[in-house]
Amino acid sequence: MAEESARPQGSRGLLWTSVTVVYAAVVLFPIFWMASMMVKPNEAMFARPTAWFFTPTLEHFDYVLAQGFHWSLLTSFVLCTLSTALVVVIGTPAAYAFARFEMKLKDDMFLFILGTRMAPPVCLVIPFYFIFARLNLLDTFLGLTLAYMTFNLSFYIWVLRSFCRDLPVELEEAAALEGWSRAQVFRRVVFPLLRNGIVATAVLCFIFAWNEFLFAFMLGGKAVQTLPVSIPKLITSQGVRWGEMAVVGMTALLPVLAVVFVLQRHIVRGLTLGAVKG
Amino acid sequence: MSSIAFASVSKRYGEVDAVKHLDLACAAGEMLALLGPSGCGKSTTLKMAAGIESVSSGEIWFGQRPVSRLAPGERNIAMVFEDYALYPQMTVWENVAFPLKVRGVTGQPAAERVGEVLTLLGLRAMADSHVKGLSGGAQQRVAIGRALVRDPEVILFDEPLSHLDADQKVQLRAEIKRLQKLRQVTSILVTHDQTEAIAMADRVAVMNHGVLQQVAAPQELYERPANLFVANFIGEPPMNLMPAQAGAGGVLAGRGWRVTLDARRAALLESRPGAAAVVGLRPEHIGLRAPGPGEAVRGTVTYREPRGDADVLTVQLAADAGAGDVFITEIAGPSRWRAGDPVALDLQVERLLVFDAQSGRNLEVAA
Repeated sequence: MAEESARPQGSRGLLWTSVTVVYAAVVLFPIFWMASMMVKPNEAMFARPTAWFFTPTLEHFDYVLAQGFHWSLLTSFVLCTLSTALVVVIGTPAAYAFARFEMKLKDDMFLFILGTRMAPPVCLVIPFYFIFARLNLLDTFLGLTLAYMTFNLSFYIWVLRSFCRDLPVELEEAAALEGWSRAQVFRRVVFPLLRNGIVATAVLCFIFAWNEFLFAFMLGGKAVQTLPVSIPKLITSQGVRWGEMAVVGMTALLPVLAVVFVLQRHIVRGLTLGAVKG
Repeated sequence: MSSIAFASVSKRYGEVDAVKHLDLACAAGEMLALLGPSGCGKSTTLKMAAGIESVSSGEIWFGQRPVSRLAPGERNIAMVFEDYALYPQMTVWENVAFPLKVRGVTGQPAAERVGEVLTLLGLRAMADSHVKGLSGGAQQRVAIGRALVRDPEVILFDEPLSHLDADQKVQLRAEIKRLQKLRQVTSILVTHDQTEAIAMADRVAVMNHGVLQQVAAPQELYERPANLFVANFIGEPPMNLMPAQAGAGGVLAGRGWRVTLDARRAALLESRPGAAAVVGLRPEHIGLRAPGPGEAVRGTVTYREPRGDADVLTVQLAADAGAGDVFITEIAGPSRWRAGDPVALDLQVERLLVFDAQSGRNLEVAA
């Protein structure tokens, strides 16, 4: 099967290849355009007819650095890494417990957890604001980390539970018979088998957090300013700084692309684990 | 090695009784099979012995030791699972060495022990392979090696052959039996396959709906089933079970047939004259002849299933009014009988079993 689809034959193969190429071009063109805007002089930005060739400039980069956007990048990175790490640490045992343990009201609790994800974020952000204001958590790392965990934790538990369910329970029983405690079984047997699932789900959580705007805008904004929140600063009274916006936008895109490329194997294997088992 | 005893053990899941008041013993060094259809409670019983499932009431004894409150790891048991349950990230050697490693046995003593077990199972050559690439039979042998490596008190086999191909099944069946006898390790085997239970076990416990039906040696089970369930469950093709009316003088009559029991069994019927009974007769205990005039039991072959060395024939009996009973017979093959042939039946009365129609109990097996 894989061999066949890898080497399509004849005119049908050619047709599909062209369709794919055209589709890729349509999807990738805005990204190419953004990349070109990064080094486009302001005069050429909206030139008519379109300026395909121009002398590249680094002035947009200088402005972005001068305005301290790299600090926003660092903030975003630290915040997303921290919240994702916490989600993995807290969510993995929780997902395992939901998959394996008998407890009262399990389904209701699970639905409740899912409910925190299903509610539109804008419904949550206002109560969050008032609560955080009382607790002095507004505009702090801790506050935003906690806020991100609420929506990512539910997603993570929800997805990882199905990974846990796909593991054969006999492996755990066999290890328990050898005298391992539940915690040892979890750490030494379950965890290695869950690794792909954990990586895949954690990457998705990281990307959700990375792209998040509303919470970061409402609950942070000054001392703790993430990259998406910093971008509107480029809409100035002198006009929109398109070149700078392209620089920041591309910067925001790169870590996501890098993560997906590096961990592609884990993600594909993780996300198709259940499907392959049938 | 220690014996195992279930003393009035029950297991409830909410409103459902999975196992009801089970009293069952397995002697030291014995292999006991738990046999029954799916959902009969045999796996639950095994898991209670393992400690994977808790006991709702009753007690499980390993020798003189009550174990029902002990964690699985404290019971000194090993288990072989239906889908092998090998650790996929480890090699054959590492899988077998695992129980030793957990107990802190490493280095030279562990290597010797693992090597010995691998040799015993013919796995020496694949010691360094990853278990994922192995055939089902080889994987299950690794699992058996993992169970044997630390000399457990008890080995529990949970449908160990269900996922294997027919040829590997037969091979591994003999292998398990050989190792079990060699090591004299007390074993419980859960299976839904009567061939497996009869071939491997010293004694077989038949269960249905969470209730133990009969415990006996395989031959005893086959010859003297305690009730209709066991009679029907054991044997292939299944036993002919025919409703019959008891008459005077040990006569039993069904639709299109009539037999006279010997004095001993006639006496069993005497106490219940006119009572409804069910007669059981195995297909191989019925002979076929060409019908002569005045035959007592006659009918027509309606279907012939050739099985190489045997023929399984379905015979529709002729009755005075309406259709008679249908008997399945198994005779040496290939026979000359074909569908449509008229035949006379020789019912081997001395092999006949009589069951009470209400309770389903075999009248000859003491309650």
